[in-house]
Amino acid sequence: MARIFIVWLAVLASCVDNATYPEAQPYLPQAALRNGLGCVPNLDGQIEANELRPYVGVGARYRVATDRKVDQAGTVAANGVRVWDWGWSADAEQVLQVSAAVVVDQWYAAHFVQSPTGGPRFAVPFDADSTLDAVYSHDPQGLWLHGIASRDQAPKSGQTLLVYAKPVQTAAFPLKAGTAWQAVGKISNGKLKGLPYGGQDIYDFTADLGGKLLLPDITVDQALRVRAKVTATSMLGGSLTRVQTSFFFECLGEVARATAGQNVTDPDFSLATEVRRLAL
Amino acid sequence: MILRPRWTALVAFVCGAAIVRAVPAIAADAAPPVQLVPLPQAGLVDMTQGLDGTPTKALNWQASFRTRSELLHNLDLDRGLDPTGEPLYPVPPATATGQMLTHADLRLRTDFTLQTAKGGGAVHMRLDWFDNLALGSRPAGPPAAATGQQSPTNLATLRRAYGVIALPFGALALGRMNAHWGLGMVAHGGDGLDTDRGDASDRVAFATPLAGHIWAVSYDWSASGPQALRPDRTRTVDLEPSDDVKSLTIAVLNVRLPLARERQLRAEKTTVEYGAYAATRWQNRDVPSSWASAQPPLTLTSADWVTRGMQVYAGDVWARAAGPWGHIEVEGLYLTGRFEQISLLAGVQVTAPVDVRQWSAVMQSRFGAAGDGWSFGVDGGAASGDSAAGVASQDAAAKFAKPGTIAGAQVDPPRDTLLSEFRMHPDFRVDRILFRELYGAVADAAYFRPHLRRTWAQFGAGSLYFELAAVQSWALAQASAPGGQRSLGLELDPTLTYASRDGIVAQVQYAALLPQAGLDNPAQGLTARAAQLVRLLLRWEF
Repeated sequence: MARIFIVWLAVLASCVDNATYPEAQPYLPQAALRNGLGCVPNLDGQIEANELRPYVGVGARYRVATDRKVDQAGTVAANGVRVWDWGWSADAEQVLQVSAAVVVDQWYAAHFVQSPTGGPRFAVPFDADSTLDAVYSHDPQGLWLHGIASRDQAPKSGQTLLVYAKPVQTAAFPLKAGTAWQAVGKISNGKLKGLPYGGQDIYDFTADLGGKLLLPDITVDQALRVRAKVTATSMLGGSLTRVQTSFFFECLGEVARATAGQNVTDPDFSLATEVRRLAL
Repeated sequence: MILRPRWTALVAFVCGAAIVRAVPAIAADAAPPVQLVPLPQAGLVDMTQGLDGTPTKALNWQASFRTRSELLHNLDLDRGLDPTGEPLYPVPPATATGQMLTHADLRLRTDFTLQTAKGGGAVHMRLDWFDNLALGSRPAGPPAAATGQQSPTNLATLRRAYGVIALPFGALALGRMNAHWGLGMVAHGGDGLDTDRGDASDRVAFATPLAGHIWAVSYDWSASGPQALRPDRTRTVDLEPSDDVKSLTIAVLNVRLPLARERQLRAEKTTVEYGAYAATRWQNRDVPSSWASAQPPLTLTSADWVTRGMQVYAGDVWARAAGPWGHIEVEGLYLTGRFEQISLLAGVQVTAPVDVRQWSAVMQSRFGAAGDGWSFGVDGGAASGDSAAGVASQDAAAKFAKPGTIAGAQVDPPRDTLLSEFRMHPDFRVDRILFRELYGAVADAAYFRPHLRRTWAQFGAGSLYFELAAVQSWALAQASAPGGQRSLGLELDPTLTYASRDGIVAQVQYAALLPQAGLDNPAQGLTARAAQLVRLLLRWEF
């Protein structure tokens, strides 16, 4: 009986104020239940603006392999569907966690202007080491690249801050096979690893083919191949060219990417210095 | 008429409506009505209810009106926010130090049985009016000036509507019928005093007595997928048969009618009953955009259908022995199967299939007098789990649970492709706070529940009993508990119930959860603190 009384006292002693009131984040169970799937692919052969929206804070995992042969041609199946088999496994592969963050408090926030139609800016890691952030915005017309900045204001390798005078359109909605566009980004008074930098980047984008893409963890039925070629010319002279092949899918965004080595200009390159594949 | 003797025999063997209706009167003399154990296999063998051969057309009805009032204190356990930024339970948002939540609701349950003139057929219907309607939740006009309440949008919930036909060789039932098996661990009809849901299956079922057992087979339209309007704009048609979820169950039972059990009891004999079923459920394709999307599309195209390839098998055994010494009841389930494709996105296939392997077992017992006097018992059970954090979320699009959370997705392909957590039915209640309120059901956990009861069979115009249960709970996997430790908590659940002979039941429930390390919040260095609950139930039976 005495033990029951002691337990009872312990219970009654708990009748105190709530010590852990969640000030910042109210409890919204109904909202959580209503979330469901935020975006549902309609498989209409093109990617509209709402199918390539950034989901701030939602992480995506990529398998990252280096110096790897890639098959850009794929094969055409009997039903006429092109199939790219990128489902191979690599021995030395790393997992890269990527998530978008709203550009508000970062040291470089004030240097980037709004998108042409006022869409909010967000940052995603630019390199595999996540030392650089690429600043984008999204609106009904496109996905815009505003520039690149080092994540830390004063990294050991020196500060990088490359701001385009006008944002570069990296996706033009609706994104569909058979479209191509060019964009030019001009940089003045920039910094590259602590050194002054100015120049001009010319981007050539081509969305050319659709088909099925096999990846290690998932298969997407309507991947859209988008090729990009960027030629960066410094004000001091000299230029650098990079080509890249990406695959996009409705709602998932970029599901695979292969980047060629410096100054490789063949869009059908077969040796990639880096391959990223969406993973679960 | 020639068939009548055979049919009457089947009805008597299975469970005739007249006999079922006679039970409350008998039980009122022996024990409080609320102690009535529902038929263990409702939906498969009680389908003949109402087919008692009454030679006149009849409408029978039963009704119960229930009100519940609750005080809930510190159900977030003062253990801070989990990694998703939410407390374990809602907290009062306007008062920073608030600990108390309140609730009151009501429900009017009506059951109708229409019998054909010769008693060879019957139709049953259950309508729950104002189903768990929160009192004061729909004030007419500004709250401060409200002088009335608006009618709820969903005035009534159709729980059951099915017809039964007597055949020379058995009974056939078709419609939306209750589904209950054994202790209600897997399928629960929701007939209890304090239950909220109740399973119902859109089913065709056939049962027949053979070799001293009841054999039953049923086919369920578990889900028929998107429907389209026909050209007449009146009825719908199932758009795509391959997206249907179908279930097939075969059961065999040896059960006694409540009256027969009562007779055995009075003769001081032990009654042994048992049953088993094997079931399978399958689905070839799915349309997740129609049920899992925040904004379901207005039109569906072939692209919306995704491959599912689901095939699941379940086997369940149940047994009960009851006599003057008390009763003991056990149930066990094993479930296995595979989802060939788990993607919810059209046009995306996940490479790794997900396997399902789950089990669960429960036991309930009572020893001692069923009527006046003391009795005690020990209950226990476990539901399989896995090392994934938390328990399964009810949100289909939930992300893989983070350590420290109480719920989330339990598979994470390709790293975790085994769905091994079993979730008992939410209406299968073993406690009042931990599993009922915080977890939603027993899942990935084990519990041990000794209980003691004192019954006063003759108390004024009814009977009174007091029960005290202590429930110690553990997570089966350490990582499943939000605190990362197996011990979840000790809960004390005293109950005082008065049941009058004219069908009024009043019950006061109290619960105190003394949380243990498994509910702490080590990430924030917070120790979970006790939670309490008081609930008052009133039910009128008609």
